[in-house]
Amino acid sequence: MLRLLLPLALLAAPAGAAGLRYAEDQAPPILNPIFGSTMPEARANELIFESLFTDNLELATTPALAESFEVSPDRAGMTVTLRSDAIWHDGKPVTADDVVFTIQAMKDKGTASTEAGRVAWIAEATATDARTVAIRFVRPESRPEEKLFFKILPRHGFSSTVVKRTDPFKNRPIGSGPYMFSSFNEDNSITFQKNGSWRDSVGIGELTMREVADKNYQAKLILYESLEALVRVLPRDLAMLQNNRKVELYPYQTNSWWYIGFNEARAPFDKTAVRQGLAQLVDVGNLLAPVGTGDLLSGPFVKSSPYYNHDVRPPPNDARAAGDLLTSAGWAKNGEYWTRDGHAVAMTLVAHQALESAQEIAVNLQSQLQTAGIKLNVDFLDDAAWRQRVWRDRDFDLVLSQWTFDRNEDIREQFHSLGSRNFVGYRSPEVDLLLDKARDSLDPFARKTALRQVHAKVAADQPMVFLWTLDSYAALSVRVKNVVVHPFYFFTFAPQWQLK
Amino acid sequence: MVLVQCLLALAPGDAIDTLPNADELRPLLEAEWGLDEPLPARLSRALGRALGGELGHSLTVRPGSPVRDLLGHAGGDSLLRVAAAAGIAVVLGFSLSRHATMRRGAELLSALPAVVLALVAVHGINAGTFACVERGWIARPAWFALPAEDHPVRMLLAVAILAVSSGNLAQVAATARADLDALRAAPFVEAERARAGGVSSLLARHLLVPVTRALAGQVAVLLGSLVVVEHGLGLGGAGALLFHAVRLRDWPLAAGLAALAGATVAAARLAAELVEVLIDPRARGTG
Repeated sequence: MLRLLLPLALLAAPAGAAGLRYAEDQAPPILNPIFGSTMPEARANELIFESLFTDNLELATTPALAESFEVSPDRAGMTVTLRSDAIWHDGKPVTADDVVFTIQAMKDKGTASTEAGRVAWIAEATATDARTVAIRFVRPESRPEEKLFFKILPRHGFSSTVVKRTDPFKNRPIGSGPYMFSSFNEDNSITFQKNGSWRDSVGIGELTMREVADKNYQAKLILYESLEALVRVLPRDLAMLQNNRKVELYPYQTNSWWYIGFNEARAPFDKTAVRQGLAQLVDVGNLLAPVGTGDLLSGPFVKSSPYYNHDVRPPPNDARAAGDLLTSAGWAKNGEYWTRDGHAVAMTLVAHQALESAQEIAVNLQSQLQTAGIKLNVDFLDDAAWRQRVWRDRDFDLVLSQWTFDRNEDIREQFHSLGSRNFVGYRSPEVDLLLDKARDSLDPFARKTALRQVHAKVAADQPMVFLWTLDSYAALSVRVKNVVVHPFYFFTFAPQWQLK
Repeated sequence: MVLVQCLLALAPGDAIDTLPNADELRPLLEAEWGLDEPLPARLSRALGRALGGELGHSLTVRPGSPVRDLLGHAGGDSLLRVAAAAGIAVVLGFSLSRHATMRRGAELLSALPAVVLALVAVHGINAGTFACVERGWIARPAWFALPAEDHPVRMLLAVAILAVSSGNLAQVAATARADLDALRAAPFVEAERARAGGVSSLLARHLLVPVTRALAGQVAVLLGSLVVVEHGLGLGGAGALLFHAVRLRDWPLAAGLAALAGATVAAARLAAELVEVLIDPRARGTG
């Protein structure tokens, strides 16, 4: 055996790779932040591009491309002065025209930017000189700098403000960030090279994003030292990595929560009593146990959020109370099964096939509801089927998914009657008013109060069973030093990382 | 090509649905991407364009890239893999056909689908190599760990899996055995033997016919396995592209890949028939 293996040893690799390799389960097909929608894209864009403001190590807003800013006394506008040392990867200076162009391109209907919502609050942006941008708001803003986290594009990279996904920029993105795009590779990996001209020193010379579609295999690859970083460790792999001396785990808190949504546009889920009854049939703690650890939630914010209403408790797992609610909604228990209008109750849950642990959760839920007397069918959908059935046709009874937010935790699109992400069809005039109030308020305390009221009202209406926020861990090789990970963009502090 | 288009049309969702802001983009993109046309119209347009050598542009896998360029880039690598795998399957199949025990072993191994064999091979090789490296028995090989490293070993493994899996090897071994028996019993071989002439060169020449027929027969099966193997081993190629084209409902790219696969199978069968006509006078007919 040993003799057979010896020839393989002749192909020995040099000790330690020169760069840092990290895994994503799906490589982005293009790199243009105004079309970004997935977390792999957000992470790659964080390396290449910069925004006017970013987070510091305490996760407080700090200038990035901006040098200083001033908000007008009436809070209806602001001026932002750019750094004088900001340059694009092709050597041209970053100017106010680039900022104005980016805002206009994102707002242009012809672009159909996925990030258009991030600039919807801006009425107009103009360059008053090469380094100064004047921004006028749609309505007064309390802390506008916290909304200037979108990435800035170089005006000279495009022919007009109507930017297409197919523009050549997608394959040779020019940013001003700490890493420069180097190549899309045959195996779908992407290589980034250190930007030697960046204003601060950058520790690691080369970063490679590797596409590893099988999430279960990513942890193995970091054990095998074929990767140096894993953005999120699956709960089942935690013990294996914790016990390995070559890997260090870094906990971080994400603004991400899981839910089982009811399709309120479809009977019987249009009745609050049905939704509340079904919610009380679900043992959320039991669903979470095989998936990992985390906080059980009662509403649409993570527990560490200032908007989380700690007075609201998650619904109890109480079969008797659930039975009373379902009976009040006209359901009847016929032997072991619940019936409605004389038919046994059966419902369909849909989940995106890429949602990690969805299978475990769905099977566990199926078992819980079956025990309670309800048949649950489960459909796992790919991207296109998900978009059609959930977003377009609203063809589902229950939907298992998660929402991930940036620091603004803006839940308006999910819960406002006119919200573009409100595919569960939740409608509440009271919540609409509160969300409008939260958006328009200049007083942080008033905003917090309004959103806590939203939490309470949404929890009572139960458009979804709020499940949990999972404890997240990144895994990095012990060779990577000075590691601090950003909970959303991951690579915000990557320039200071060192590879020994 | 028609079949792939029909299957894609039957699948839920379309290329626009794979984009995050599909609802806003639909009015802008539906006509531009030809998704507002009924399937027959789209098919006839695609076929007409394909006949003129124009395959359109990728919609979602490599947005905006000409399908012809993508096929040229990925197709060459994949065809090389398929050719090598077909060759290995034929050589191994003919070699094993003479040994009953080895043939049965090959049949067992060959019964595994490509996806299973790839999983078992990758995980088995990695776990074994990792154990040896950890114990200091060997230095870390440059190809380790599969399939993360871009190394020729990854390609060799893909070719080996293609050659052996999904019944390929068993099929070739069984065909070879029948063909060899038939050839040995052929009247012209017996006549040559009766004349006390050497039959080896005669057998070898006439063996080319079943060999090329077996090769051609393998190509269609190998193209099917290629999707799984290239995707599973992280190899760029037509198979991996087809996987992504179907996942992202990129119908021009899927149609181009189907056309390439069809042309490859047709070319392989034509080549096999040409060899048969050249070698076997009975196949030429009398006109």
